[in-house]
Amino acid sequence: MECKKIKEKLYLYSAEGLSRRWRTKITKHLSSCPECMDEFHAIEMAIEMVEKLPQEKPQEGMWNKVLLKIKEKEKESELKRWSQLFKVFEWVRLRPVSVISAFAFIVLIFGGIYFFANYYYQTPDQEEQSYMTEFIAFSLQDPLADKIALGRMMGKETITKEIKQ
Amino acid sequence: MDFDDALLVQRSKDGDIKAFEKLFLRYQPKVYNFTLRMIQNREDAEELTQESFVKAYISIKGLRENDAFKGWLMQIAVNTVRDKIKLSRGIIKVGNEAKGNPEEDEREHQIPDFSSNGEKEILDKELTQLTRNAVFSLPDIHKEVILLHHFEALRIEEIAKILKVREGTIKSRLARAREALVKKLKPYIKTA
Repeated sequence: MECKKIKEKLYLYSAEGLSRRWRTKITKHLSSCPECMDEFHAIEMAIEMVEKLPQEKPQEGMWNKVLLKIKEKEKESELKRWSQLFKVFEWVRLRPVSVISAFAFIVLIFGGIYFFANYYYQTPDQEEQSYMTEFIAFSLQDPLADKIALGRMMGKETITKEIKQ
Repeated sequence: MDFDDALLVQRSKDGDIKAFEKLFLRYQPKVYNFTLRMIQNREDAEELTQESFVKAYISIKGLRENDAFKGWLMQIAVNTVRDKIKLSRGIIKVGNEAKGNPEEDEREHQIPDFSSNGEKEILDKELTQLTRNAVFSLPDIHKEVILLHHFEALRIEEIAKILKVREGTIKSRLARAREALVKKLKPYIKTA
């Protein structure tokens, strides 16, 4: 009974697929049972026969064939890349209205974002800078511009009125 | 060895075909013998070996660890052979299908008459052929494990990585494959 169980597990034992408990048990059993040891020896012999199989030498000149195939593959992938680009052009050529509309839409969206970022919304620094530019341009035309500007800066409308009067 | 591999792989990644040629010369016998034992056809084995190396060169930039080239290459070879087997199943006899042929079965199980020729060389040749047939008659998943472990000397964990299965699965496949081999080779073991 013991031997039957051990023989069932011998292959997993040889493949190191058993728990430590079973490994110890089988190792102990093998040292005292010549019949199971013969079975284990048969496994080892079969493995040895397989490992002894001679290696075959591949045909010479295989590298040149590999090189040729690599070059072919590289050419193929380059052609594929070009054909993909050509497909895009073809797609554009066949749908001019859609492409122009999409282009105009994109320009509007990005133009809007640019406008908003640069002119509509200004940081305090940018605001001051653009105010100074405006002031310089204005002061060249109007000698009282500096006072008006001062008023605007201080937020006092009354000063402006006073100056105008 | 591994450092050398890593260097050659890096140079191949940079487009140096001469470095890849060195890798090819180093691993060509391994890939060729693995493929040959999987499909038992020299012409196909050569074709598939070439294909494996072409695939390796084209996708070498995707290899993350340069020193893991051998395992990665064997993974490509395994997949190339699997694809071929899948494609040619039904056209050429592979793996299990050869089992179904009664004539072949009979030939396989005939014990060669060693006493009549008495020459060691012939006996060795016969044994080699019998062993080769025994390996070839294994199911593909068992054959892969036997070849990678006993011919390519890959560790269980490396094989598990290549075949993308758990180590326990590899061990159980190895055990089953050994069991089948012993059953087939037992009549000749004492003679060997």
